[in-house]
Amino acid sequence: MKRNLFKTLTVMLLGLAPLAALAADANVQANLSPDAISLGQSAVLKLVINGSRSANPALPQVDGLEFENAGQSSQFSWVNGSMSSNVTLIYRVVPTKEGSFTIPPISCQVDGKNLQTQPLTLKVLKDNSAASPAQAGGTGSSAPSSATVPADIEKNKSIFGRITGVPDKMYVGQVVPVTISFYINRNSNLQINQVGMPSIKNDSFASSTLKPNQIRQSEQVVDGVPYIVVSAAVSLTAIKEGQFDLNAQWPLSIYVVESDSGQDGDNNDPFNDPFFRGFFRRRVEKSVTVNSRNHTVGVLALPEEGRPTSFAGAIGRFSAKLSADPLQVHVGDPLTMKLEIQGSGNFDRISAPAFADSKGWKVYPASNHFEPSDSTGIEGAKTFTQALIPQDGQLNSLPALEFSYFDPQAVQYVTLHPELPRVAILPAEQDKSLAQQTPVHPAPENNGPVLAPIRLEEGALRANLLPVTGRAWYWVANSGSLLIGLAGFFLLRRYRKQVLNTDYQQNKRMGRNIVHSLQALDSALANEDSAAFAEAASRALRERLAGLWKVRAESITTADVRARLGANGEPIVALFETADAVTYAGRRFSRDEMFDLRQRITEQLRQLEAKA
Amino acid sequence: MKNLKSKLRQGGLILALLLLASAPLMAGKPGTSDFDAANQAYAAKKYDDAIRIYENLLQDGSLSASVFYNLGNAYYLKGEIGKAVLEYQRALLLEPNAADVAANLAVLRQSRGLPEPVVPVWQKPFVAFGLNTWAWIGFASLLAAMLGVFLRGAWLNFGEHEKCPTRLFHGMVAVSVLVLLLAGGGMMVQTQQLDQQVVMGEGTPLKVSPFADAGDVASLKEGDLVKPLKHYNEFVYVKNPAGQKGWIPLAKLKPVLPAS
Repeated sequence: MKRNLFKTLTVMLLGLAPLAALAADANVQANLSPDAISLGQSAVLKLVINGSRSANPALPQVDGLEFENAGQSSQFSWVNGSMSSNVTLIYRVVPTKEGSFTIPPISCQVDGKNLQTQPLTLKVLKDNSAASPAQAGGTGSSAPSSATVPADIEKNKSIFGRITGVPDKMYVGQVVPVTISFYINRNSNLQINQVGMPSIKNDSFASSTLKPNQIRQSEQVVDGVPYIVVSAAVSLTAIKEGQFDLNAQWPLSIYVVESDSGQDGDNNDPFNDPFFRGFFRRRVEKSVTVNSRNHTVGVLALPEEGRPTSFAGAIGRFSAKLSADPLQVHVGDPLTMKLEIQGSGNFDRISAPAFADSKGWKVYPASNHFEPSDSTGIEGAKTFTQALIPQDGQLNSLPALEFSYFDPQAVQYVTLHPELPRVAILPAEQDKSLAQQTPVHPAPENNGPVLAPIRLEEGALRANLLPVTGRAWYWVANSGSLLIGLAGFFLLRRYRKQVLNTDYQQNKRMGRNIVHSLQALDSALANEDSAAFAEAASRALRERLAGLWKVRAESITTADVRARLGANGEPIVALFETADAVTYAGRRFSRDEMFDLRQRITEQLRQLEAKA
Repeated sequence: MKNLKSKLRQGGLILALLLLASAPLMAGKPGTSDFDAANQAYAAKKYDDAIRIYENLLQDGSLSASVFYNLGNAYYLKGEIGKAVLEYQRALLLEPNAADVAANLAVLRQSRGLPEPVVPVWQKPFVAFGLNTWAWIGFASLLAAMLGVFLRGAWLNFGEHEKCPTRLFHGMVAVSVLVLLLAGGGMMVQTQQLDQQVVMGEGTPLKVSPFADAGDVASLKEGDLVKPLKHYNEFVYVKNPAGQKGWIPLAKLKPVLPAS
């Protein structure tokens, strides 16, 4: 019982832990799109509060700008046990005069904390130049019209479709990202069953192929109405020039929930609770196609003027980088050249740039690889890999190449000349004789060779052909031999350092004698034998001094001690004289005196050892 | 205690006798039935059958110089020269001094106009033994040299150092080091032979660059031995015994020492 309670509490705590983490990691970001508009248009300010599902922002007062609430959306996900949540508050920013405006940091109260955004800048132009066709086609959508909510939000419908990001003008071959979505009013009696694949309805445009995992679902509140929003980002390419109406269609299957009688005591609801009522209502499945509103797009032809000869249809914004491997190559040896084109645009129209002059090089066809960095494939990097072989030792660099594209924002052609890597081209490794064919040998004999007979015994069997040098145990065995040798060298070093060293031997002997003397001292102390004590004490001190002065212990006298140690030797002299008094004058020590002497002798030995 | 020692001695003796008795079995001396069957097929000039059985033996892990040699003979008589050279070379890996293998390989080369590998004079002492033999000589000489050092150190430290036979130990170490150097040279030379590859197609072109449509430098014969120098995609830059270098498709080569 206790164990079950513990388990339940643990599960609850684990469940609450991510919520606590959410509050701890909360942050707020603000972005303004676009950052330059014309007077009469509006920009969209988004406050994204990560790590929380609610926030209370205090919008600043900016002279010349008005902020209008345009709704909010929130997301909540739990992936691999990690929970994340965010809420996006959307405001329309409407300028009342032209100029450059700075929106100061916006304060948000999130879970009791005061968070601030970064300051933002909005440029409001007098005329319509901020929303050129190129800009609209390149990156984003036009600002909503003057209504509080975008015009294509059909509030009177339970379900409706949208397509956003469609520019007013674009160029043939240009690719732009658009978002196709449909909205279902959460308060309606509609529920999503299955979602099909959306499509663009106009043959003058092509769109990228969608995969089911590219479809996103979120919630959004528009003007106080909660919606479930299902959306997909696709790329849109104009195929031919002209003025076209464009819309998107999204086939799907929905449930239409039958309305109840309006009484709380509905017979279908056994719990008699509005929360559970939906589970017990009848639902009817219906297949529908949701259409977005029409958008009119003007598709322009690419300008003829200023078109470079190396232009092959690339439209967008790109950079190019060239690399080669190896950087040193002999004539006749291949090297691999890589051209990486990065940026955003119609990568499918980018082909390998041709060399202006590849004289002296043998050039092989290039292979390519595209690595998208967004779901629509508009942004990314395309790499062309090409093998080249220098044919001439006089070459001093790779053949030059150029890459041209049309920039729809700048409305002009751009030609890039990527910097050539420095490659050293060395003379051929082979000598001239290589060019000669091998001599022709006589034709093989068809039969009749006199061969040694086959073997009739199978012989020693082996598991594989690997020689012993390819086996780990062989090298382990050799390492064992080296370890033996290492031990031998250690022993020889020890012999030279210790056995052959007289100082070392003498010190070693002295150490042994001192230990023996101290043992004799302790033994005499235990037996209260004054004579033995005095002799052992005298011997221990003499041995120590002998080791220090490199003389024989027996030859050391009190005069020597005075001469060598001076005043510092007086305690030792006193000890010698005390010992002599016992040995030669028959004096006897009391037990306390012996303890005292033992202590003094130990102290003197310690001091002498420190001097050594 | 004495009883225990005596029993241990008896047990050791029995184990040693068992090991001795099983040695021929472990070495696989007697011909197996499959090996005999392959030999009979060979004798009946059914080379395809013989090749199939020999190959099965090798796939089952029964690798021996005899199987490689017999298989080489079968391939040669069937006219598959590249494979014959490959199997002879593999037999020589296991038995570097096998006279029958060397003789048949020489016959094959002579009959097909394949050049004999030229051994430089300075390398001749090193090709007297195979890699394994040199490896064991190297190991033994290293062990002897290291034991010499160790025994002298132990004697000087723990024995009567005045009686240490220093000259004997010095001589032992000096001789061992000389043999070790010789073995090192032998191992180096023999190791270089290990990465040889056999050309598998008659008239295989040696190309100037690693591409199918590149120009030819020379033409290699099936059974030619080449040394790989570098790789580029599906091509290998090789050098043949005549010193010619060029690119050859990887698929046209078989290594004497298999990769695994």
